[in-house]
Amino acid sequence: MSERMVRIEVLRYRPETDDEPTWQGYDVPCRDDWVVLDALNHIKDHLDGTLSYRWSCHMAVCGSCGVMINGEPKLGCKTFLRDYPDGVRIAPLENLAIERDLVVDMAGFGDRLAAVQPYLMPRGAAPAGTYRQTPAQLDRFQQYAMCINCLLCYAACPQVGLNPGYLGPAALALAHRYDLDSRDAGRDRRAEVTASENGVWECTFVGECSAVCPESVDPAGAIQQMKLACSLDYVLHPLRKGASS
Amino acid sequence: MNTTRPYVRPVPWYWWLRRPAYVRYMLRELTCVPIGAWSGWLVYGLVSLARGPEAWTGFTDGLASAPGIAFQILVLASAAYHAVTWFNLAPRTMPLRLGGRRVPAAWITLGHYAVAAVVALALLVMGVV
Repeated sequence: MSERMVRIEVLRYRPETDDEPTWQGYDVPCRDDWVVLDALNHIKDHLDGTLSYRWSCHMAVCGSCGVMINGEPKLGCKTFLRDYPDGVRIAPLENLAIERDLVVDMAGFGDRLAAVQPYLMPRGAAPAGTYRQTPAQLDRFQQYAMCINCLLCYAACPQVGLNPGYLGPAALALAHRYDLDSRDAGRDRRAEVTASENGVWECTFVGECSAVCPESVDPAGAIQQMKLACSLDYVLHPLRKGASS
Repeated sequence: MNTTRPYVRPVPWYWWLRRPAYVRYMLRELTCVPIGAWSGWLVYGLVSLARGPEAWTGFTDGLASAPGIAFQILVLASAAYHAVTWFNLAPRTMPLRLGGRRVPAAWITLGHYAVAAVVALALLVMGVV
């Protein structure tokens, strides 16, 4: 296996000493089959133990190692260094506050996930035993259940950066996943949040959230479908109200 | 004691120059400016029609002038760019199912082109007749 030296630049921020982030370069002996995360691990183990970053599974499942690689949001474990002959510049995900080095503040994202009530809210009592669902019913929402919460979509969305209150692509796609579930009857309750001023109407369909998603979830599509659904609700709600009274 | 001092990176005004996809997005959004101006010009045409033959001739002369034609080409290009990008996105906005199966994305896009062609043809025929 051949090895070559690769220049890896990392945006560092040490809150105890730094007023703002600064670039730091490392020359790393990389193998052909190394991904960016391997290089970060090499730096941490052999060159600079003070470097901080998140990772866990090394196989695009946990969603922990999302970073900006030459300005593009990517998973460190899924991005091969051989595709970057001139070296890489690694920065924390855009649009998120930096806690330390490549570690971003995820607390706001957790709040957004909780806000959309991402769980089944069945009509009436849950059935005794197993919920039954046909393959066609599963197919309606399954794509949106594949999200690994890596936040690449938040880094790719300019509206997340411009509007700090915006719920953002992953949280809205997750809400859509439950709205489409045949076992769920909670869409009206979720709409109080998803159709609010920080919900789907903040999206202007830039579409980059879907372009960067490592799991091929389509948050942009989900959000447009939610816009259509809540527009129909707006028009049809008075009619339904009239019909029921 | 555990304290944090998160650093928030400001979003610069030129954020939309950072990625080619952002530039294409801004171009798509900017198509509304010539189309909006064109709508305003058409309203001005209606006002001219109400004012009488002299005002109406002034309006049609404006349409036929070199700057007028250049502007209409810009409007046509803007509308075409917006339509193409929108029709390409339509399958994700309005996914359809028939008999429990997904309708292929290309069919939805082609359906939009077909409807647009029929409407354009109908308007053309109405204009001629």
